[in-house]
Amino acid sequence: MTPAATIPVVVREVRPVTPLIRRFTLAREDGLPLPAFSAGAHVVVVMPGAARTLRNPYSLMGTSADLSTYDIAVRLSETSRGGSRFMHEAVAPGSKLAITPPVNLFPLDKLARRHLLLCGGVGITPVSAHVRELVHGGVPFEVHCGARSIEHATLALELRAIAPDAVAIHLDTPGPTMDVEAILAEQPLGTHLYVCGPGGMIENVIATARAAGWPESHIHWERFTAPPAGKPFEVTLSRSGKRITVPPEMSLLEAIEAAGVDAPFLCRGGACGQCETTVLALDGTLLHHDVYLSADQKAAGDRIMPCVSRADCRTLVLDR
Amino acid sequence: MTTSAIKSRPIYGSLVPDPTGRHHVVVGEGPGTAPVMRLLAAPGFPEHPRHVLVAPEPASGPAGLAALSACGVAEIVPDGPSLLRRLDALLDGCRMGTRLYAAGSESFLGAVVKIAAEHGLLDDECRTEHAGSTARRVHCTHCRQVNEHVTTNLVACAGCGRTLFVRDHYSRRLAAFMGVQADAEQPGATPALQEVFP
Amino acid sequence: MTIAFKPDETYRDDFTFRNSPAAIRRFPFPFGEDVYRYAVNIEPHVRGGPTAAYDNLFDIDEHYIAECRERALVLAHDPKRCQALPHMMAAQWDTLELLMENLSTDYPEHFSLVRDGYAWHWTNRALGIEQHFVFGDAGTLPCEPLEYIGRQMQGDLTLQDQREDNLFMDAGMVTCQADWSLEFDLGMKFHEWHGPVPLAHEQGVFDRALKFLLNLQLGRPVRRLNWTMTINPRMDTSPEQYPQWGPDRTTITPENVGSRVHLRVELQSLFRLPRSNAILFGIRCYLISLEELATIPKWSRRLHRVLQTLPPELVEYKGLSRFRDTAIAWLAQRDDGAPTSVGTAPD
Repeated sequence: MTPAATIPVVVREVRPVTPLIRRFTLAREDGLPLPAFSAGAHVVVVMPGAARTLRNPYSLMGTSADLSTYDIAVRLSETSRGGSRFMHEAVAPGSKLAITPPVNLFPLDKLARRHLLLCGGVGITPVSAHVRELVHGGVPFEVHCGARSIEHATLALELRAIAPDAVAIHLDTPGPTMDVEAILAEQPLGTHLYVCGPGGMIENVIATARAAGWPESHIHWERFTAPPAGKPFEVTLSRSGKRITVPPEMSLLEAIEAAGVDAPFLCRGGACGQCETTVLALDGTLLHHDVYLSADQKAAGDRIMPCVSRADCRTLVLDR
Repeated sequence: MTTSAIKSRPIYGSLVPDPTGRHHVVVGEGPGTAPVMRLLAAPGFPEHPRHVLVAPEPASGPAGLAALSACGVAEIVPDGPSLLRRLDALLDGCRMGTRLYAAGSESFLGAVVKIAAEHGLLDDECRTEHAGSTARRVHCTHCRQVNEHVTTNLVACAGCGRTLFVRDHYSRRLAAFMGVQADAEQPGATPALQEVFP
Repeated sequence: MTIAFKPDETYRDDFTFRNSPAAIRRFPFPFGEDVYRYAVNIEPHVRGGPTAAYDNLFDIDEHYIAECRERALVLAHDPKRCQALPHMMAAQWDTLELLMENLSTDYPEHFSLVRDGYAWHWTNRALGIEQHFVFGDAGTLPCEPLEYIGRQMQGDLTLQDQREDNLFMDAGMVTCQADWSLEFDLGMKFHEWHGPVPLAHEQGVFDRALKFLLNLQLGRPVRRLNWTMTINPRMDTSPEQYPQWGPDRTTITPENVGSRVHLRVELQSLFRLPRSNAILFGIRCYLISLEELATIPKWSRRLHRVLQTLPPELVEYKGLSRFRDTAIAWLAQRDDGAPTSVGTAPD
């Protein structure tokens, strides 16, 4: 499947939320309602960067109750490859952007008997939508938000106002920090765990849950991995007959797109498998950074997820 | 034995300890008692926390019961239905990290898995082992009667009287195989009656 | 364009269903070549295709009123043909919205939808229905949303919940199916409800199809065609009713094969639903007798050649064993061996 047609949007409002996070309110340029969506969905925002088009996924924070606008929150990344910096520095009310239709790779399990949501930092954005959906349902839920300090906890305070009994806030300063082991210890059967936050937090929560006997089917996470930078490498696209160079700061998928070749994608974070591409020839090593392919598939070297993975090679030929 | 060619049928394995679990609930009915005893004696299967419920075959006698308590069976219940009621209550108090192990007839396993699902347990938290008869529960697609303990390819439906052919299609929700009239196209033209699920 | 409905046709008893010449030309003939070849054949469900049946995402034709009446008869006899597990309510509303939006946009002479926030006003002039209701409040409709809109649609609908990296058939309205049972399959996973299909499992067809569907995107529906053959223009060939339709298969003779044997084509469409993240599976059924089909010589030639090359497992699975030879003999008289043109469209 080729990428979905994008929806032109205009930025209605930009509000600082914390020292690092800004909230953007987007509306369709033509004034029509935006597509309905389910809690946990994201859109990919297409930004007209100076040097190249930037595409970053951001979770939708509200609900389908009001489809006149979407709200997203963007944290300025210290290691920004351009996307979050563009959003913070170049986007103002009236700016024009484009978004893909919503895709949900982090939905709530509809048969869960209880929902346990853990988030850290800007990972609160999908959880914001989850909580707004859960307050209308009959299933019990519990939310734990981690933040550096109270000035970084604005979105968590918002959630606590919506569901005072269900939302706990844990601040690094003054502490105490989130005690994941204690939170996971006494959860009733049928609880589903959702975690979104920095990579280290996700890994820690998953490891703690596994150690406490949680089965994989009850553990859900979403991680928006920025594509890692690396050494430049050259790629031949056999179907389109093009030869491209992937610069250090650009992902393979972005380089393919920049060459004018349509390539499928959904998450742009190595999780969904949509951009899977067949490797036709390789002289060198694939540097897999995705969580989609199994260890065996990665070792086989016959396919790659170009949204996050790279290569250290003399030759790479892709079926694209 | 189970036939893996039936895609809609659960795959039953054999009961072995799941080291990732933190609390183990073990249930066995009738011929499922033997796999339960084997599991309890397996190396690496923790003494606790675990909870074992068994409804042994009526013919087990005092010696059989003594053997059960010797290998750590905590509760012996008179029959399958009382075991299922006990299991339901037991799971109410269980926490995440629990693993459920069940052994017995396919009807029993179907009922256990249904109760487990109602408590939110998914496939990776349940282990099942089929023991004893391969008799099938058969759901009549015409009148919706469930016919228990069917050992033949054809069965006279207890609800509508039609001769049903037992299709290799299994519904977990109904915990039953599909039965469809065998001679609908030509009355009386049924395949030969065979005992195929002894 | 106003459709000239044929409200008095029947799909049972005296079987007065017939296709007009225009309906024959718009039939979604499924075979693209002169031999049988299994293919997943999934393609984008976009407007436009080989015949007019592809002009809209949900096709309404001259049989609309008669088919809705047939559906009501099936439901009156067996209410379990429409079932939804409790967690599927959001998907039911998604379905109602998608169908009402499409019907009112594509057939404004027959349907209209006026929305004021959540206060909706639906008019179905073809069936003489007018309904004010509150979107999201099932108490304001005479029945649950899936049943409400399903009773006003041609074709079956099932709703699949997505969880555990799988799809679960957790709701549906199924009254014109080809020998499968919603009551039996409700709650099944993707591979489970496809369990009875021969050959395809081993070829990995369902593994690939599931992987594809799990990433199905909003606003980018897909479709495929499936087919079988049915005696008489009978919509309800469910396992539940097999005692009623099974005997028909023994009644085919060289004299009646042309009028009684029907090619049955399902135009299957799959939509990602927005609020529920579920998938709607539409199964729109078209029937055409061999005599009607033979008015398009390309189609009768090609059907003849396809039936000859069908693998025995599929002959058995599709229930054609008792009358395939008779159908082939009838079609052979209409196959002069001439080459057929590329594609499925009529010449």
